[in-house]
Amino acid sequence: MSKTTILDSAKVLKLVNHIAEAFINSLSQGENFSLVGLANGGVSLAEILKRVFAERFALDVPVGTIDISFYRDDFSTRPVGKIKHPTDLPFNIDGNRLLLVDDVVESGRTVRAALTEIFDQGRPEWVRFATLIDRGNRILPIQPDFVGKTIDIPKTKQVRVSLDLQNQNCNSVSVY
Amino acid sequence: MDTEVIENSVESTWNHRDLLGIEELSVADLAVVFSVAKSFKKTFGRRVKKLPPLRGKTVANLFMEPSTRTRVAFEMAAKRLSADTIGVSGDSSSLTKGESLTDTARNIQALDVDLIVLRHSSAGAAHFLSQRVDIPVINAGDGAHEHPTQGLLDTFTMFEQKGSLQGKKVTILGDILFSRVARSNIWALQKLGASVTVAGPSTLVPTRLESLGVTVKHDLRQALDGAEVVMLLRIQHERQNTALFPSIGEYCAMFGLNKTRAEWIDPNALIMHPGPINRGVEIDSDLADSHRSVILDQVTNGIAVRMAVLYLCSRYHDQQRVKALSKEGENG
Repeated sequence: MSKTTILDSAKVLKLVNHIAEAFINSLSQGENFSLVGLANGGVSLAEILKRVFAERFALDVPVGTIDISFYRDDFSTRPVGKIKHPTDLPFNIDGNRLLLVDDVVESGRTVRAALTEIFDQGRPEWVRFATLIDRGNRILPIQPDFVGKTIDIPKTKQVRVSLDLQNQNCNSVSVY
Repeated sequence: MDTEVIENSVESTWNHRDLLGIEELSVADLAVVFSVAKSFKKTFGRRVKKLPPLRGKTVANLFMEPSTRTRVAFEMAAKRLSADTIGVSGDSSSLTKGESLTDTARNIQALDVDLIVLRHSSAGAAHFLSQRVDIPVINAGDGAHEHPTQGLLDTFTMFEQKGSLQGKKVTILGDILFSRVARSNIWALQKLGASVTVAGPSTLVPTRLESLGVTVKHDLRQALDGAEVVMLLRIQHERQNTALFPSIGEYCAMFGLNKTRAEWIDPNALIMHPGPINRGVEIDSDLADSHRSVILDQVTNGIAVRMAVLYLCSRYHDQQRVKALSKEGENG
């Protein structure tokens, strides 16, 4: 299988900054918010965004994680992988404003499950969704509010996002 | 098995529709149960405690023998997974009218139940039933044979508190002869590499147990010396038709865990009891409430472990059904 790197670390960082900026610009005056990374791919992205919000906007943003393993709709047909990052929302959901983050969006099922899990735990004021890569093929009426890059590739291809928190020079997005 | 094995376990390796005993489980199976139970336990503090995996399913709790905590724990576990539950107990069912276990179970299955949890006074009852219905059967205790979810929750509690059980001395004290809890724990502990000692009056601790690979001691001091876990079992008055020890008072004097005897065990040893406790018989009241006692952790873990078992068996059964259906489709 051939591998094509479509984004190198400089480009990834630029796109993350772009998402952060667009999101901050969308906020009304004085609105605070929390980050929710969708396990597994969104967890590192949420951490990187937290760093950008701190460095560029001097904001200390709480970060939580959502793992949708127990909320999947294909529970009986697909083996469930190991839970690396269990759901942990260390803040009150009620009335909170949430930026839900994932590395790649495709069908929209994961986001649907994440929203169900979030609303089982409380009633946020609003939820917005940011993704680094939108690869199309949506089957649900769910669209990201903030997108790093939209790519058009065949369904059979895989997108791999590598985000290294310690060494951000190693970040990349490839297509297999 | 160490903590890493649990961290790296994968649910898809679970291939049991029923949970009948720990004897037939592998170390990998134990790791999967612990890993899933750990994930479920993390959801316990949530405002909404329900998770959706068993939504739309019905779990029948058939308790043909009295039980409070196991029945409540199974019911709670099923409800936390969004299943509906129906309870049938021995004295309120048609069993008292002469209906056989098979007929009761078939009738329950005809009601479109998805999973049966069975507590029964006869060893092998769950196995018997599993061969006659085509839905998962979970053994919640069958006679003096096994009580697998108790064995799982006990070893899960030990694992949580102590990490790897490899080479650790675990002493089971009391009525081993009639105890399915002891038997399930012995199976689980041996698979996990613990060194198991059983102790109690010789009438309740048969030496033939040595064939299971455990050390049998009738001297309490030797049994407790350096133990890192002490598991006390309840004296089962109801199962003793013949007098196997002279009196409760004498049992307590000879084998009850009191302050003096608790000095013999490891200072950081865990004190466990599957409940219900006979305070002042198997254990001094103070010790049951001491910081070394994990008796209430066992109760909490009982929910998490039973959620894991219901989840895994139900999921495996669903997957098999989907596979069978798609095969039928291919052939048809």
